[in-house]
Amino acid sequence: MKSSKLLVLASVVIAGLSVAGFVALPLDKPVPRSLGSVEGDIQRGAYVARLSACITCHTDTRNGGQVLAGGAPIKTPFGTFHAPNITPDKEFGIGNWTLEDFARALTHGESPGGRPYYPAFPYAFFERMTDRDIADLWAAVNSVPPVNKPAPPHDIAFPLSTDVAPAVWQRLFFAPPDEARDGGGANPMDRGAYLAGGPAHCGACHTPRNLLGARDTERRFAGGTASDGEKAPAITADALRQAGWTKKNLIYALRTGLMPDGDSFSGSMARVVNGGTRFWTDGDLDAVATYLFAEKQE
Amino acid sequence: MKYRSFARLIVVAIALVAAPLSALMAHSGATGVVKERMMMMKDMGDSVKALAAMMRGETAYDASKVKALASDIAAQSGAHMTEKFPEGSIEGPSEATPQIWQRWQSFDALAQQLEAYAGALQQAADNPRGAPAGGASMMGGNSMMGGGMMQGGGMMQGGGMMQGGGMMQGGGPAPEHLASMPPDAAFAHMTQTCSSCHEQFRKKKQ
Repeated sequence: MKSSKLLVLASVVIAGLSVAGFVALPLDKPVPRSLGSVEGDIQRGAYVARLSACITCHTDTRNGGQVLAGGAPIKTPFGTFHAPNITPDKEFGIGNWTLEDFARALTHGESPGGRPYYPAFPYAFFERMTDRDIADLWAAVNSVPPVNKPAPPHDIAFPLSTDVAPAVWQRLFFAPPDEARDGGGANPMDRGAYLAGGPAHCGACHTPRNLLGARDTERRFAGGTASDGEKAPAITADALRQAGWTKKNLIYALRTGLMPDGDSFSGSMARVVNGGTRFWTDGDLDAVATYLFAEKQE
Repeated sequence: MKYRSFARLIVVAIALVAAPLSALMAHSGATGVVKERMMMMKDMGDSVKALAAMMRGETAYDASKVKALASDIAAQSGAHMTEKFPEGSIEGPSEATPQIWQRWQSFDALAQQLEAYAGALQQAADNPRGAPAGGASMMGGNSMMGGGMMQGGGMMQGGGMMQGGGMMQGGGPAPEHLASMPPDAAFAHMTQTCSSCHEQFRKKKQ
C-alpha cells in the first residue's frame, strides 16, 4: 500500500511541475509598447472611455459609487469579479502607475508587478487599441478625483483564486497578433472593425465562450452570456436581420436604448448604451453598424 | 504552437467532464399577474414604437395621436404599474429581477417618473419639433463628449449622470420642463426612463 501512496504523491508532484513548467513557458505575446513620447489628451480620452465602457464596469453606479473607484459585481461561472479602483489614488488606485504600466495592463493583461489579470478584464480586446487611444485614456483616467478606498476583492474559489489560474488561461488562450494597430481612420468598415473588436469589445458578451471562459472565435458574434447568466443575443449580420434589425434602427438603438419593437434594452446592454454608445459620434455609430451588417468582416 | 493547442484540448476536455450539469429550466407560460404585466409592457412597447416612428419622421407627425399614445402610457405607469409587481412575482417567463423588491423605492420612483413624463409628453405634443432624424439632440449623440458632462476639471466629475444610481433617479428634468421641450426631446427623456428601469430591474433570459 505504501507504493500506491508514493505513486499518488509522485503524480501530484509531476502534475504540479507540469503546470509550473507550462506557466513558465515564454508567452508569444508582443513586446510591451513604448508610449513614453505620446502626450495624452484628456477630452479625447474621456471619449475613448465611452468607446471602451471603462466607466460601465469600474463604477458601481447603482450604489452611488464614485467614478472609476471600483465596479458592481460581475457574476460568472468562475466566481464574482469586481473591477478594481482605477482612480489616481496612490494607495488603492493606480496613482503609482506610469503610462507604460497602463498600456501593459490594457494590452498584456498584466499588472505593473507582472501579475496576470483574469480575462473578465477585456485585455484580449484592448490589446488592439491604438497608442493614441491608450495615451488619451490614461490622461482621462488621471483626471478623475482619487478615491482612497479599495474596491471589494474578487470572490473566487481556490484554485481559481491563485495567480496560476489566469496565468494558465493566458498561455492557453491569449495570443494577440503582433501587428501594427490603427484606429480605422475615416473608412467606416475599418473604423467599425476597430471599435467592435477593440475598445467596444462587443465579443466579450456576444461571442460564446467555452467552459474555460475562452471565446469560441469560430463562432464570433453567435451569441453569448453577460454577467450573471444574462443572455447576449447573436449579432452576426444574418442574426441581426432575422431579428428585425437594420443599420438605421441599430444606430438609433445604440443612441437611445430603444429597440425596433418599441421595447428598450435591459440589463447589461442598457448599461452599455447608457454609459457608452449614447455618447458616441454619429460617425462611430455608423461605422460599427456598417461593420456588423457587412457580409464579410475583417 | 502544437504543444499549445494540445494543452488547450486537454484542459477543455477535463473541464467538460468536470462541469456540473446545468439544471433544465422549465419554461412555463405566464399566468396571473405576470401575464397581465407582460401584456401591459407589450402594449406600452407598441405605443413607444408608434411614437418613435413619428419622432424619427418615418410616419407623419400627428399631435393628437401623440397625445393619445402618451396618455395610454401614463395610464399604465405609476401605481398602475407597481401594483402589478407583488413581492416575489418572478415566476414563469418573467424577466423581472428580485432587485425590484430590494430597492423598491428606486423602482417605484421610476414608475412614477414614467407617468409624469408621459403626461409631460402629452403637453409637449403641440410644441415646435426639433431635428427630425435621430433624437440626437437630447441624447448627446452628436457632440464628442456627450454634452459637457466630461468637462470641467476632468472626466466625469460630479456630473449628475454617473452618480447615484443612473441618470434618471430623481436626476432627470422636472416634468414641467419636459412639457416645454420639443416633443422629440420629451419623448427621448421618457424612453430614457424605460431604459433606466430595464437596466436595473430586468434581465433577459433568452
